[in-house]
Amino acid sequence: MSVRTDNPNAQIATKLRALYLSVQEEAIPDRFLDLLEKLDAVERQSMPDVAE
Amino acid sequence: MSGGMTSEEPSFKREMLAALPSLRAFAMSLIGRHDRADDLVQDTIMKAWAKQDHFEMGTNMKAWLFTILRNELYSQMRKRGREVQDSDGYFTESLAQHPAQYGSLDLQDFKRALEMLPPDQREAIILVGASGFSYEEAAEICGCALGTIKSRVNRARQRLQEILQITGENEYGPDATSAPMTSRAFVS
Repeated sequence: MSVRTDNPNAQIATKLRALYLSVQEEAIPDRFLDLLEKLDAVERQSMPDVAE
Repeated sequence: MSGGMTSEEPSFKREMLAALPSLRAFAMSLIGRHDRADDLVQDTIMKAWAKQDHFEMGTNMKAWLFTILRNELYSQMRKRGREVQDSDGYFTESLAQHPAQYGSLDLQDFKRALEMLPPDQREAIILVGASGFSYEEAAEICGCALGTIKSRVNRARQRLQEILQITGENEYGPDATSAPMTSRAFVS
């Protein structure tokens, strides 16, 4: 298996994107959804006139 | 990326959520380990939330978050000294931890090669080559000149080519010592 082709930059670009996408396409972990919910809830409490 | 919004008023939280998948991918590409990357994302969310008054709705949320994440990473690295920067062992075990994620051996090789880049070159090529930022945006995120980003990206490409030509000839397969740790963290 060799990475030598006539356009090594294209190979690199493809692999870089594949690696990146492998993470980007994961579902957002619950810890972040929960965190945002909490931050949002705290903020609403502290700002009485922002009802929704 | 914009416009995907419902007719409701745009909310800071909603925009942040939309940017999270990419933010995680950025963190993961920079750091190479899911656990640390997600800790960094969490720190970034907290920082960003605290600074939301500084964010102007309608401007580029993704670039804003990336900038915060990057600054946070480097400030943590400075606090921890050189430890984090040292590539020795830092990225390596993640290959075995998430073998399914990086599919082919080919991608694992690539990940190792990426790890060998100096951090400034690595972030430059990720921002431009994977995150979809222009050179101008990347320069702004990194707080450096346009020419600097361009030359970092070029050097990153050259270096990756060199490394991949070398490592293509030997075996950087999944590593027997850490393989048993596989898939504990992110399977569920």
